[in-house]
Amino acid sequence: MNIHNVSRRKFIVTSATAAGGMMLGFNLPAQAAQMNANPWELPTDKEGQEVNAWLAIDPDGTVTIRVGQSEMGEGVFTSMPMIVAEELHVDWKMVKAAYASGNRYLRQKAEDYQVAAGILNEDHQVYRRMGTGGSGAVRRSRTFLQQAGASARERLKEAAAQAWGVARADVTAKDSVLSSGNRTGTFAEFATAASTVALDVEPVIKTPDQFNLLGASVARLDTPLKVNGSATYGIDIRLPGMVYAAVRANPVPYGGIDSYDADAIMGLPGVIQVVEIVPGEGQDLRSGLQPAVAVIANSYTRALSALDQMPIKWSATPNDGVNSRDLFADANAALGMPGAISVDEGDTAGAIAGATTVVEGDYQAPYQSHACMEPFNCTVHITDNRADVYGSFQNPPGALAVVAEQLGMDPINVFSHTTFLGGGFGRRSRNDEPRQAAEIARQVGRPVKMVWTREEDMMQNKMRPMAVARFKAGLGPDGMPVGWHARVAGHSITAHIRPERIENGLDNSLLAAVRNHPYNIPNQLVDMHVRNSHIPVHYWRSVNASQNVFMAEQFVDEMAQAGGHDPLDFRLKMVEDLEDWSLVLNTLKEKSGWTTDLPPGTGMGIGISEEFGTVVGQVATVTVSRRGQLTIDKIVAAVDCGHLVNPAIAEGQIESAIVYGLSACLAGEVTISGGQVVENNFDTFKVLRINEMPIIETHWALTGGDKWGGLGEPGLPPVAAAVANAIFYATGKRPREMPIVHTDLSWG
Amino acid sequence: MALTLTVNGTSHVVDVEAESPLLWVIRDTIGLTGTKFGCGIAKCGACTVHIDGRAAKSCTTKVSAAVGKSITTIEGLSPDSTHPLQVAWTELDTPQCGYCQSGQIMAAAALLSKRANPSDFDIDTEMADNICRCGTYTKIRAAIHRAAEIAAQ
Amino acid sequence: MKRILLGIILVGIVGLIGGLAWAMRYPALDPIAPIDASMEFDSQVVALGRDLAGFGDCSVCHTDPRQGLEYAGGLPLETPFGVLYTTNITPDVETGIGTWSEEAFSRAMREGVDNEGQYLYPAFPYDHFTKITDEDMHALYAYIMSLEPINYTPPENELGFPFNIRLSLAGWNLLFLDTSRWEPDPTQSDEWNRGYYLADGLGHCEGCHTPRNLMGAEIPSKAYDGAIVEGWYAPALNDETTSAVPWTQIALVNYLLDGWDVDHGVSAGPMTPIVNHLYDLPEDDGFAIAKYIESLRPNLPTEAATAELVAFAAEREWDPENPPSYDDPGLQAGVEAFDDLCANCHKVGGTTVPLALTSTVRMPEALNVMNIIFDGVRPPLGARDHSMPEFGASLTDENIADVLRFVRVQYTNLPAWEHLEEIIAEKRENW
Repeated sequence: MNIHNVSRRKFIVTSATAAGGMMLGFNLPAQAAQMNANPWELPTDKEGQEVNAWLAIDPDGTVTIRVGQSEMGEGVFTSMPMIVAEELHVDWKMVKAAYASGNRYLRQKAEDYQVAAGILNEDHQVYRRMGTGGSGAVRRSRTFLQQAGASARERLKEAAAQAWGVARADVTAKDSVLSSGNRTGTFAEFATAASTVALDVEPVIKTPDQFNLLGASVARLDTPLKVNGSATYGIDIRLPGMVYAAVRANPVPYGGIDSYDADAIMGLPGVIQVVEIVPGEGQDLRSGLQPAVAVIANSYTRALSALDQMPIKWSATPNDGVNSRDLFADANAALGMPGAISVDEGDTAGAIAGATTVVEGDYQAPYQSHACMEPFNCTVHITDNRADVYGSFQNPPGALAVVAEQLGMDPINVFSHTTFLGGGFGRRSRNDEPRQAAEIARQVGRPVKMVWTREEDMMQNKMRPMAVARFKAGLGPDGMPVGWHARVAGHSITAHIRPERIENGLDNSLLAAVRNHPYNIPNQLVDMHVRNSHIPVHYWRSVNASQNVFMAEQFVDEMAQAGGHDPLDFRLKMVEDLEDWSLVLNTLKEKSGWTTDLPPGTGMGIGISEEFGTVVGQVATVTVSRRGQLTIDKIVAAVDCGHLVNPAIAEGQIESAIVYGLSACLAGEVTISGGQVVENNFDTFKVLRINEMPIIETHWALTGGDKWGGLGEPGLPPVAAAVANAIFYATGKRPREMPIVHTDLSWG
Repeated sequence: MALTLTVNGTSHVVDVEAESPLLWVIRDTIGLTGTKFGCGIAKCGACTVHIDGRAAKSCTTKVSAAVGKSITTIEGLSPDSTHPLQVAWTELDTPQCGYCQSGQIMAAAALLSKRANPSDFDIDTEMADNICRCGTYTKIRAAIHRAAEIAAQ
Repeated sequence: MKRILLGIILVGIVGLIGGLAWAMRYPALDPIAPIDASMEFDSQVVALGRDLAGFGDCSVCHTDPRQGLEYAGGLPLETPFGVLYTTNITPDVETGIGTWSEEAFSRAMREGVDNEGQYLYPAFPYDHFTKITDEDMHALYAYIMSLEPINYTPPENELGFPFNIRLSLAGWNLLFLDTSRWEPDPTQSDEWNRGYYLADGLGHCEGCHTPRNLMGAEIPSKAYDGAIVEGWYAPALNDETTSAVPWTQIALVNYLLDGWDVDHGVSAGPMTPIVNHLYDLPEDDGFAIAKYIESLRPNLPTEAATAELVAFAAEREWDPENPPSYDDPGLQAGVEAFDDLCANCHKVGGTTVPLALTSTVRMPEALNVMNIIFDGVRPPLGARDHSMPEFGASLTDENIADVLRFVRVQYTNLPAWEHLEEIIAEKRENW
């Protein structure tokens, strides 16, 4: 039996990194990469000189810029280094990117220059924020990344100035070269000296009018690794001596284990052990740890095959009879009762009672899966007083913390190694998988890679919540609204994982886009009910807004229609004081060829919302056959995020959000039956495919100034509303329920 | 059971069960992790490889069915990322998270071998079994057209 | 071989006689100067022609998908007599029909003779196009002449003697071509008549769904009995059908326009390009075609018989909790192969049509199911989330035979399929 094992040769434990992490040598492809296939490792094996925690300079001039966010497609491995490089005046071709260390984040407080510059205070962690979410990469990191680049640049200039006996003001830095008069030197030459320079005053960062690199569509640094299979994702991790775990949790979330017959499978090839995962004392839903059984074997297929053959009996739970129909009925019943009040301006009831026209509309949206392309997985290696955890983490310090907690270790002895993420969409910030993998590794006593099947991934998922809403508005004689009452009932993520934050039954996050829309309506009442089930929930690309905008923006169209207004002009009129909303709407009007006068079966519809500081409006053009066949022909988006770091990547984010939103709007949903998730793979969980892809046009409508809005999520919420409104104009039918596939759209 | 597999022109003797999915043998036993696991039921395309030049979903191909055939994975498409599809993919910065892209490129390569100059319709039809949750479909279309152009030069 | 020899002799004789009588009948028609279609024709007439060309599926044959040059021809048509390559019908002066007058076009369409007076092979269904009205013929001409000219010369036909002698077709026409024009049937509704006109005339449905005689002509007495074409079985559309649930007008509309119906499944193989053409066409005409096709099957099964088949389908659908098992080791091998691949989607609670209801598993020939296993199902335009991956490279020939045997036994009570090994081997060889 001669196993030609290439992998064995590939994996040589080479050295400990600066952070003490285990480093695995990988044979890189011959081409020059701008980053390593293992992004948690330094891209070169040369000793770099760190100038500050964000960047190190190698003797050959290579500048490694560390990235605090996780690369899950949104382009942070390019956009974040661009921000540092903008200030550093480095030759972009010499820039390489690597992840910042999550362990270092825990151990080190803000650096002196950060405090001196007034960017961070002494209690902040050195990398300030490492989680990736809330569309916050550029929005919330830009200033301290600019500062890191600017401060390093000035230190390099100062080091050169001292060596050359000139004033720092007489030294210029450009493309990695320092010069003064006829003297020149490279960044590399002065890196060591620069690292010890103290500046009297930290430099002021550039304003957008001074940018050179920012605003350019620089090529992504991770692309070369993603066209030849070399980019490493969590699921690709291989450690010497590693074994594999296949896991099955009670399909009714958090249900217990009655019994299982390990003896039945212990003789199967490669099977090593059966592990039971039981939440410990005091571990509640917040831990995310579900009762489960894992089979450990020397290959994943053997572990999985044995798991399939092992008799398991799950405990009965009080939730075994829960189904979506009842959950919706319960939530809809709540809409008939006054709820916890979030907004109460003026006399809404009175205004509606005295209105010329009253408009009402009910809507609903189901649980929704993330369905990241990379199924959940995690690899944990525990040695004496140290644990290494490898995976696709959206929140590496959080992964460290849960592993430490599960193992009873000090987090500073836990090291996370974040790989590329095969999709995240919020799901990978929950960190239930490192906890589960740590628990398995603790029992197994050797390095373990835990991989969920797609079915497990979707059945153990922490969903986007379900929600229903009822809107009621009164219109004046001019057809403009005088009162707006919105009531939402749905599953609250906050009540699920941070119940202490819920006061008087109020969770404002459930009311995104319903309570904080900018429409000028004099009397407004917004109230809500929390209706949680046993189904675990978590953040999802734009979460609550992804459903609320579908509802609210359809209702805005209903008001426009009842008041005899063009829906786009109606919105313009309600936001006339807002420069950004007006610009986005006018851009849409111009670029989409807006009209409501189209032949039967064809329609244009609009949706608009503001999330994470960015206003996005979209116009959808759809065709519906008489028999109700829906085709999305085109989506035109207008976006105001203030400024752009990398327009090509930014456009990719808008397209990506539209596609993700269309999947959920058209056919994707999670239904519950028998307390379990029904749609557990891509045969039943429908996502948009290339042959359903509309033409997408993105137009920037930038107002600039101080606005720096996020881009990962804001492109998503408007699309479902735009499509639904377009369907109404095409067919006269209004899809009040997501996914739209449930509404019969036949007409004529 | 010792089976001999030819992957990217190299012969490997692997000790696995005959019914093991080819995907996991390629990834775990041979160590070529560019081919990805996505669904296990041939519905997402992340695991697409070529068997004797035809696209196959390796997650639902038993390793025994691939014995004696020539298997190509993303790592074997070209030694240095110079296949027209890889060049086009890079030119257009097609991937986002990148997880599905090995499968997309392998499916596209099978398409180009059937149709050197595919239309948008051909691409939509032939690539419909490959899911991308980042929604890079517009770029995938453009990159396939570009690759056809490069290949024709 | 015997069949072909006999064919040769027959065609030879007929050709001789026919040749004498008919050879001089068709003169060459004068070429015309290139025309500017946008000036020459009304845009509404061109649009009508576009729809009619869609119903006629002209581009399905007159396009080689490998080249991607629409209407420029080059598609190889495998016939028992050799390989024909379709012609370039773009208005290119050199390689297409740019010099053809409307008279020449109309003559070709109705009488199977080209501009030069040369006989065309009846793979081109001029025997159906005789039914086209003058008005529609004009619109078709206007549309074709307004296409972008493509300079492309398709490959030469690969026909043996005597089929390479075009004159022999004079005899064929004498025997099989009815050039009389069509009149609506006053005993039928307008919708039916419209459907007949589109399906039997332009649409030439019979071209695939009616068996042909030794000389490649449709057999009128077996109209719509079903036939093998291009390695696929074009099923019977009349009382010979083996489909489980009767095809109603709406089911046919769903299938013909969208490529999918909830009681019958998804289109595949050579039918998919057809439904993709129909997808965009006027819905009323789709209903008309369906009305006519529905009428081809006058003797419907009783509701009880249909209900029984539906119940049978539900009972036989794969239950992952309780999969079928067979004593016969061959069938059990089929169960296992099915479990690995097919049962991931074709199962209770799945989103596919119950297998026992699909037309393919009930057909007298295994060809279609086999082709689908090899090549998968490409999603039709009107049913974009209905596709199936190809498994030809994932399965051995033996696996495929096992699955086919199992499918026939599990999902039907019909006689076993025959010659599985042969058809699989032939498919593999040309795959």
